[in-house]
Amino acid sequence: MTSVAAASATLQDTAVALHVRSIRKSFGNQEVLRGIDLDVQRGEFLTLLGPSGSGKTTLLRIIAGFESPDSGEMKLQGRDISRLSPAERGLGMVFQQYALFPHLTVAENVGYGLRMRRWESGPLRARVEHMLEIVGLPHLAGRKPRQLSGGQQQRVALARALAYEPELLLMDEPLGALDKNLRLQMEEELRRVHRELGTTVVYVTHDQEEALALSDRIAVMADGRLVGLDTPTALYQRPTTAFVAKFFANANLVPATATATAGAGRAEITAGESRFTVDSELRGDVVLAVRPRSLRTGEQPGGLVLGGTVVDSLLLGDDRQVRVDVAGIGAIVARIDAAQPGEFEPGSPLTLSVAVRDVTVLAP
Amino acid sequence: MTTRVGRTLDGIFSWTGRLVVGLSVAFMAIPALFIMVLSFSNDRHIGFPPETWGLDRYVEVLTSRTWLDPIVLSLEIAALTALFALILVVPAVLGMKRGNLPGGTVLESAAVAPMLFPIAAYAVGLYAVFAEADLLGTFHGIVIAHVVHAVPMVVIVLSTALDRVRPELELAAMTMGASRARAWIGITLRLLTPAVFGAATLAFVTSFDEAVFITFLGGPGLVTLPKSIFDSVQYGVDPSITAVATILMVVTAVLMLGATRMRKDVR
Repeated sequence: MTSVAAASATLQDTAVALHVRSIRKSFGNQEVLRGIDLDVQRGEFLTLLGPSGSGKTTLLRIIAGFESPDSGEMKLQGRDISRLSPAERGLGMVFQQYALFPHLTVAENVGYGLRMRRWESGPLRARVEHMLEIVGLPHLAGRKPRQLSGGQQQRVALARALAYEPELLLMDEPLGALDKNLRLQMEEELRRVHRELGTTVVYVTHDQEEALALSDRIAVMADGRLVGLDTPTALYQRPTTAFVAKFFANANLVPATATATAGAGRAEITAGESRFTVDSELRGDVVLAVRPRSLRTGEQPGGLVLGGTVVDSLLLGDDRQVRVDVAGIGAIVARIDAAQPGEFEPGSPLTLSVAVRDVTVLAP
Repeated sequence: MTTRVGRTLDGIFSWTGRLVVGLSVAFMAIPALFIMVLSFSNDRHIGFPPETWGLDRYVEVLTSRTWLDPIVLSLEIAALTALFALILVVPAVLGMKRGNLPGGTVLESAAVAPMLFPIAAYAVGLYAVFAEADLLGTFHGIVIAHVVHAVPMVVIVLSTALDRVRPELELAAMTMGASRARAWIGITLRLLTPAVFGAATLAFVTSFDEAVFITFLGGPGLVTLPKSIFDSVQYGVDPSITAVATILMVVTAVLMLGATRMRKDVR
């Protein structure tokens, strides 16, 4: 019985690549991390997502060993790494500004970690060539970094960080310095490389679209805490906090009250003129998260109805983004089909509505 | 109408500019060229145009102790000045820029402050201090004065060079398995090397050329090359100074050009 429990514990341990417990960090009297718990599964692509100042970069730097936490523990494949130097942790890291060594060629950059590991020159050259093929730049091996474009430099940085097969790859806003088209292309590239090599990745970004496109799971951070941790789909469609709904899905937050009149597990929601029942245990003041895309023009029976005046309307190709000022609630942003007829000039009255199944009830 | 006036003004300004630049270049270059031409004369007295041509003056400079001793002394002082300035400044600049030192920027401006003092006024101050410390007329006294004089330039050259070396480079090397020392020497110091050479050259040249401190602090026993040229002009003119001056100018120009080239390479 005990041996089975022990075996299952080990099994669980090996599935976890990075284990982070109660990490705290302050700079002066500013508390940047207020107790972070996180388990990254082996082979997983996990994104730390949050606005600037949320502590995501500090957490990454602590995992890398550039900063030491005030308290807490960190294990990599079961090995305690919290007291090790960056070199001893054996991680790979990709920086926002590439951080390629300007005095070395592309091939020498990619081979740097291997040379530190005292690889023989034969296998070293073969591995460097292989890595450059994976990122699609074998023809640039002899160039200096300054002769490459930003996208090429970041691909070299990726090849360099993966060349010695680290147990964990850390990426600090690696696409932040690239323009939008290149970013989309690099996202595809990153997904492909991750699929091919199966490396465990912890990725930091403040861009929720990037997080959606890349991640197996997303950890949303705010104010030094983890406020949501789930798959992109779950976080997007069923956010668990108002902050996640707002930051991650750009949801509108509509204040409302919930009463228990509808029975156990059900709540009757009152928001402005609308009244409907949903599955919820929450009572009293609540907020309703409504994604811009689930709003329709006109009234829908039984749903949440929001009437107001148009403040601004923006044509975005297939979509039209309309900002409506609703009395007693504030600005509501809706994304509707651009082909839909209607008057969207500023000042025109407009009624928006959303079906009950698209409303998420959250604590304020 | 107004555009025509504007264009005429543009023309006038651009020609005045060219004239001023041309005159200042001529003003600086002509005496130098004049001396160079004279140095290849074998006449017994300096006179223009030279009547005989030859290398007698160079032979004289490189064989007689009157000139060779000051040259060697100047080279020794300049080399030591460059060395000590680097030993002082390299760690200081790294500490100020990379060490999260509180007040690092204040310290940096303080390091550059000696540049603001008029050199003669500063030499008077040093004279008092050196008299007190028994350093007047000593070899190491002059080296100390020259190091103090060279430090601001070395600080400026090295700190601007270090600003261009991103701290992430060292961190990247460390994640890839380099020890802190190895990352520091192999990456940061390696990238600073051209600037270190450039800074050393500047320190060397300022010391080699320096004539004010040596006049105030050198006393009778310590005769560097600039001092010896000055003395020679003052107490009867030895025609060899044309050769000495030419050597001084060429060596300085070559060193300065080399330093500039090296600093350009890092960019």
